[in-house]
Amino acid sequence: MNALLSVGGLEKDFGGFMAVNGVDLQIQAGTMTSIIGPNGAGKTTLINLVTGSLQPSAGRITFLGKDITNLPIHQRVRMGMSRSFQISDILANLSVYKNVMLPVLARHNYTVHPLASLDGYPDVHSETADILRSVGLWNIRHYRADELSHGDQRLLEIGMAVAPSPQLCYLDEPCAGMNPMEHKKVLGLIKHLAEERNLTFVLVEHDMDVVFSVSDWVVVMNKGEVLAEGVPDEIRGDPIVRSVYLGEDVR
Amino acid sequence: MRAKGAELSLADVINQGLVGLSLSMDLWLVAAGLTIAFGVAGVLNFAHGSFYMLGAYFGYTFYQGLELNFWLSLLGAAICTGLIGLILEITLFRRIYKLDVAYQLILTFGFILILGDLAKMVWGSMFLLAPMPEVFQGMITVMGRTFPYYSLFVIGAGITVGVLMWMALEWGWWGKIVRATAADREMAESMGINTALTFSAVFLFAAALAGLAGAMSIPWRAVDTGVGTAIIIQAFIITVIGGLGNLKGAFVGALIVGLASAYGILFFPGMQLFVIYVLMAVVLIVKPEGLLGER
Amino acid sequence: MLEQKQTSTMWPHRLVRYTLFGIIIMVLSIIPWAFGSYGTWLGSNVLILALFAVSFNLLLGYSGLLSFGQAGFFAVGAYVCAKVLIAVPWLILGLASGVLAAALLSLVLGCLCVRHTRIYFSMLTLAFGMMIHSVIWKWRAVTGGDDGLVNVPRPPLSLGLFQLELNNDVTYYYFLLLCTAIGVYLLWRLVNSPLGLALQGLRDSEQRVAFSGLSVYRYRLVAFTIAGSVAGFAGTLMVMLTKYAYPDMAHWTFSAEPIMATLMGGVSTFAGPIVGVLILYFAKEIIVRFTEYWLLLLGSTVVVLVLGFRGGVVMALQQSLPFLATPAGEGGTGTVSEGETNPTTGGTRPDAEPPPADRSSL
Repeated sequence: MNALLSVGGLEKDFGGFMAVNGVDLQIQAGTMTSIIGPNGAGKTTLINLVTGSLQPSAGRITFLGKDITNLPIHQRVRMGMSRSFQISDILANLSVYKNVMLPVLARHNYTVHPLASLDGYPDVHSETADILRSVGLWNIRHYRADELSHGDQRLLEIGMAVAPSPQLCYLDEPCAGMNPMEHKKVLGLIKHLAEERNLTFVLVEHDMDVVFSVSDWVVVMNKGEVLAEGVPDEIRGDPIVRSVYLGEDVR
Repeated sequence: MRAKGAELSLADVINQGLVGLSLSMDLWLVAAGLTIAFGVAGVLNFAHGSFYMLGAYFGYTFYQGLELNFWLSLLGAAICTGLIGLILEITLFRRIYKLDVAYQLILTFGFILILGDLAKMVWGSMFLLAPMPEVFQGMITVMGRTFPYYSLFVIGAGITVGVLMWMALEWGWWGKIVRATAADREMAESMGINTALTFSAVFLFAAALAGLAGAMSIPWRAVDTGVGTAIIIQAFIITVIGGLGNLKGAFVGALIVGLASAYGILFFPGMQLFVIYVLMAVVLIVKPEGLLGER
Repeated sequence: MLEQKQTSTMWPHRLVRYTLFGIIIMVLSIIPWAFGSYGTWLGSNVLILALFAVSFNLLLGYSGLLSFGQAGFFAVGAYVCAKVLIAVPWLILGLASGVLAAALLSLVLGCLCVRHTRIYFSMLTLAFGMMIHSVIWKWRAVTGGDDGLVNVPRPPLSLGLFQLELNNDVTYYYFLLLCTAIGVYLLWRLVNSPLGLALQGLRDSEQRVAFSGLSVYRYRLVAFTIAGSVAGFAGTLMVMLTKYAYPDMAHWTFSAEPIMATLMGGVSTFAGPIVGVLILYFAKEIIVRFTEYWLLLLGSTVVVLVLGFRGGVVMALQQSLPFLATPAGEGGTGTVSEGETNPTTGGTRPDAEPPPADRSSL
């Protein structure tokens, strides 16, 4: 089966410091992959490269069979990628509703309409409502995004990541700043979204327990390279992986 | 200048090149302050040109009003302008470091209005003209064309400042502090650097430099409240060409703009300003981050 | 679906808004009767400037772009309209040419300016605005240089059989009222449309807009071109008011007027710029009788506003009367936070873009 996303020999050089140092990776459709690793391992840089926020110094990125290495962000999103950010990047002055509505409008190509009222577009409204209900933000949809609690903002991040109806969705530490109970709940939500919408997720994560319970595939990174990858049980027992995490807070 | 319709000789070109260089160095002093203040503190001071204007006015007051020695006048102008910059930084700029860029720009834009009217209050709206200091009167002859001593002085001053700044930043302990603060304020703080003091010092220096340039301009240009805006626009063009926050870029940009102005007068008289804008547009298309800028 | 439009108010927004709009139009209509020829003159200026300021705020309050060069497009609209009308006194032709010229120029300059970070963008707009000023100043043959263009005709409005003479200043005032109302209405529709939502996204987070599948460059360009075109339109209206085109129409000091007005009235609301122009003009009228240092006061007001009171007048009114005009963001609970803020948000937000230069390369 052809991989949904394929990365070959990816490198990112920051003035001598190799944040990503020759990464080969494949993401299969319909899976939940977790990328784990200590701070500075290059996880977020990898996501930045794959989504287009950064240009690689070397290597190729292939998505749905097409070479997207030089494609700008918005075109990758159009092809079917999306992401959420480690630090919430929401549209602060707009309501929760409008935050989710924008990517939906964009996907339908309605954002070129300069005079139509936002009250029209029943298809957009039902999609937006659907997403908001899925992530549990329907009741507070009129609040400004910057008035939300931290946890709700993380949920909004996820909602916005799902809104463009992607095939491949990257979530960068979706549960950052949450307590273990919330963490579990959110991951359950992600799993549910994956099944409901036929989405392939790639998570960047820190919490090992949770990672092992929801992932189909685990990729361990260290110092810009892929240290190991495999099904959770393999990784759990891998001695190299354990040694990397020795001294790290294994929660 | 040459007679209209006469052939352009190499001597003309070289002479105009020297004119261009003196324009460049005048601009360099202003652009250097602007870009270093941005590089260190992250604030783009729209009113930086007003320091140039104030320096010119102070210089005039010391030189003509108080009849001080020219060198003392220059020094006095630089100090006074620097102090004003310092006061502005302490009272006002400090509050805007955390603000959105748009508000910083609007605020410093407001300063242009304030400083302009304050200058009008103190010095009136008349153009002020100062005579050439004796030591610089006269011309040298290069390939049969004359070139004022004063312009040579300006060129020399600009290069000297450039070299001194470069040396200070590369080797001086003060330079290390400035560069560390510029690169990462939090990191610098955690290393024990008093970044607030650094910011103030840099602003003082930048304002003083612009003031010096303004004072130096009085023998060859009449002073009025409009000189500030004219120069800030050129300073902006220089920073766009050279890259914001980049001293070397500012120097190169100043060279380009000064020479382009001078050669523009020679080859496209009347449209020389347009030449600079075209240059800027070309750089923007070809290398948007500036010739020496980095994305 | 109307659900998301309703916030925690008692009255439906729409009814209130239309009523207010109607009242304002009625009040504006009696100006010539109530205040005579001077009032008509002032009112005409205010109308044109209000349109100009709203177009400016499309960039700042709605798209997050601070342009210091909008006067350039205003002037281009004015000059092209003037040249056309002097040659061929057909009103519609003059208006259309002015707007078209401004649109084209803003498209071209926009392509150069909008791909940059916000700081560079602002610097570039100042530079290009003054470039237009220089060109107008120097190109005597075409623009009349610092003499400008005089005796610009004010042709009648002819639509088929209907003809309206506009030479009477009072009649022209009503024509301006109509044009401004239409212009403002269209801009209102724009900011509340899907395109308008995309632009507001740009203001809040360009990264997020890109990840919604939209090209930041293209949408910025659209905003810039529309703003430039409307500025040009305002310019055509002005040149027919004064019957005179002059280079300082393109000067940065004129670009500053919508900026100051918007700041005073409130960046984050649609009506802010309009209110701001009113305040600015009335204040100026009064203050210049007492002192020649008007700019000092203006600059100081700006400083005070930026440091202390960024919401502007309209925001203050809204907090006391929540059912007033819809803000450029969301009404919600109408909170405005203390502390260092972004033009419309309530909290510090690091600029979503990376710093414009590698500062360590000093």
